[in-house]
Amino acid sequence: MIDDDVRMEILRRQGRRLAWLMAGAAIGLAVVLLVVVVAAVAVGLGGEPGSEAGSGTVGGLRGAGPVATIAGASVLLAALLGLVPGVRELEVTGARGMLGADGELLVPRRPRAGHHARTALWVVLHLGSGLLCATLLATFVPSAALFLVELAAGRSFGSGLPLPEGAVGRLGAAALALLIGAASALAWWPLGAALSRLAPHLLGPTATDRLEAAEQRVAREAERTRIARELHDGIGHALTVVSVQAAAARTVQHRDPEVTAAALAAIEETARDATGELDAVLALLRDEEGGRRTPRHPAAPDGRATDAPAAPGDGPAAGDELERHLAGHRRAGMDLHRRGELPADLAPLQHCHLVRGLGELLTNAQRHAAPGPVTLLLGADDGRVHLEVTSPLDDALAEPADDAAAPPADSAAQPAAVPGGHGLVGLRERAALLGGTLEAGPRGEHWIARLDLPLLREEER
Amino acid sequence: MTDPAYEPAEPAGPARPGDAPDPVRLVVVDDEPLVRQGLSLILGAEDDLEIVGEAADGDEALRIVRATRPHVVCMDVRMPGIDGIRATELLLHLPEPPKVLVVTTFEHDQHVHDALLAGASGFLLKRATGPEMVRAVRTIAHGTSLLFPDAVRDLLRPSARTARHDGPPLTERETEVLAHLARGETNAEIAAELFLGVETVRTHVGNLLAKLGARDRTQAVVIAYRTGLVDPRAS
Repeated sequence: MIDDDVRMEILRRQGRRLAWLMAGAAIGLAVVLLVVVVAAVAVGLGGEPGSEAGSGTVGGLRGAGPVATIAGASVLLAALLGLVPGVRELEVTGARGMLGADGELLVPRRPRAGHHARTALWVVLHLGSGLLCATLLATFVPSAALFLVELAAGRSFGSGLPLPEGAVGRLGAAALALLIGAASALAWWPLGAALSRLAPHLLGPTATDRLEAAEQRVAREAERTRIARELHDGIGHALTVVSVQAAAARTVQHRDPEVTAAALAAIEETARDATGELDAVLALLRDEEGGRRTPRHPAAPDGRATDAPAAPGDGPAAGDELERHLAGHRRAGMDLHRRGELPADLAPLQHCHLVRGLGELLTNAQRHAAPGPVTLLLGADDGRVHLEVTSPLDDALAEPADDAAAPPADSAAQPAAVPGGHGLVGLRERAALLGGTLEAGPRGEHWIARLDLPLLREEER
Repeated sequence: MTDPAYEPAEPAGPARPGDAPDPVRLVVVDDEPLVRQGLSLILGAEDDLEIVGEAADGDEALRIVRATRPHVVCMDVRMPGIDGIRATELLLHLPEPPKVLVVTTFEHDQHVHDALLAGASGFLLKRATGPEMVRAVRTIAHGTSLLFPDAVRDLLRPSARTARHDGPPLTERETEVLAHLARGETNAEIAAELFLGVETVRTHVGNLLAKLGARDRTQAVVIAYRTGLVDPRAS
């Protein structure tokens, strides 16, 4: 039973493969005919009054030269067919469903020259191999059969092939005819198999595609590391504070109600802050999840997209979060000036990174800068996106506020979060994970911190 | 106050609780003020423990320890500036080094492993209950047994047999005592199991600590695991 099922399945698969080749033959024939007709019309218009139609000529063209021209033009037309939008999709579907190609086939969302060239080559191969199979099946197989009949009957029925003399000659000719006929009848089998092997190379991901996919994977890994770190530093830390303070409260509860109350207040505040932070981390995870499914993620993490004005050119969540940060720091008394915009089609995750980095840099500036205007410069060029915060240098801090070891800043997005984050060290590590840099240091009378990341646009996710 | 951990093992260290004890002097080091203050509250509430100083980072810890000469330092690992591991190393180079109890958020942490190799006498999870914290400090202060023997074994398993013991060889009996010690047993427990007197066990422990050049039981076990004197997989 199972054997029968397997056999049926193999037959079905070969049938689909033959149908795929015949479809190629039909389109190929149409292409060749079109070329021939155009060529005939061109020749007719060109006017070769002396020429006459006869056997061995195609539409009034004679000799090997014109045949080569027609073949070349047909190949060219078939290749052009491969450039028509949607053909790649059709060919991928056909290769998967009918040819039975295994392996990874894909329809690139934004095809590059490499994709186009491969698609064109594939269409030429599809139509060419289809025509070849059809020709073999439609001409060689009947001819061989006819010749065999002629051999058996001993006289010609119009195959035009000379009947050999003698029994040995006839036997040899019959064997040859059988061989050629069988080979022609079955040629599609190995051809189809070879093409199905070839399909992943031409319709599959290119080396660039693979590299891109790998890069995206790395970026996702980095994001995971970051989220794990955020949980460790934020929530883990907060829970530690809560458990230690709760233990302390229990220890002194009967002796010192005042200290107990203070511990309880600390627990309450820490837990509340941690909940906010958890909210932010979960929003980040939701972002990541949503960003993979839909190109543009809907609302801001905290659902405030509706009540805050989005910056022009920015996505709803993007503008909201950036503006919220800036507004928060302005409310806290910072004389904050913003120049430039982030690219509108920045990938949401990268936007998230930048805004968080900005939060850390501004918090740092707020704590350690001398009074005066703080300038935020946003921009992107040359495949990189950058963010620069310039603040007046505090003389007292000018010396120790070196680089990474600068006083610890609060965790990024939550200005009210528990203190003791990693400050610029963490930010620098994160930037490095994403293939970027963080440079910070005094320049003249200013402290300048510049975050630089490779630009990740939304479509490339 | 009948905790078996009260039986002192080594001549050095705070006085026995039996004869009008001096309290154990403690310094708490943590960069998070709420954790630092919480630990101080919990530990300071005990009659036999006294908080003599607090520090927010490694630098300050060194300063305060020099000034206050505590018996035990409760040390956070991850701190800005000089972290807990480096601070532990530095503290143990002082003329009269305190014992270091590493206080950590996560048990399976490379930092804890590093701290033990740096010479810490034990570690404690921040999520421990108040009584557990108090017990841990007492155990470290009096050196009566190994703190969390299973966790120490798990932490040191990957680094087992990477070092060589160059000191005088241990006798068969001492090796036996060391294996029991690695399981976290007190002198009294070891004595009962090996049918020896407590005083004999105490002598053996003192000798093997000297031979291994170990500061305390924890460090003896660290050395034992790393040199292969005791197989962490066997215990």
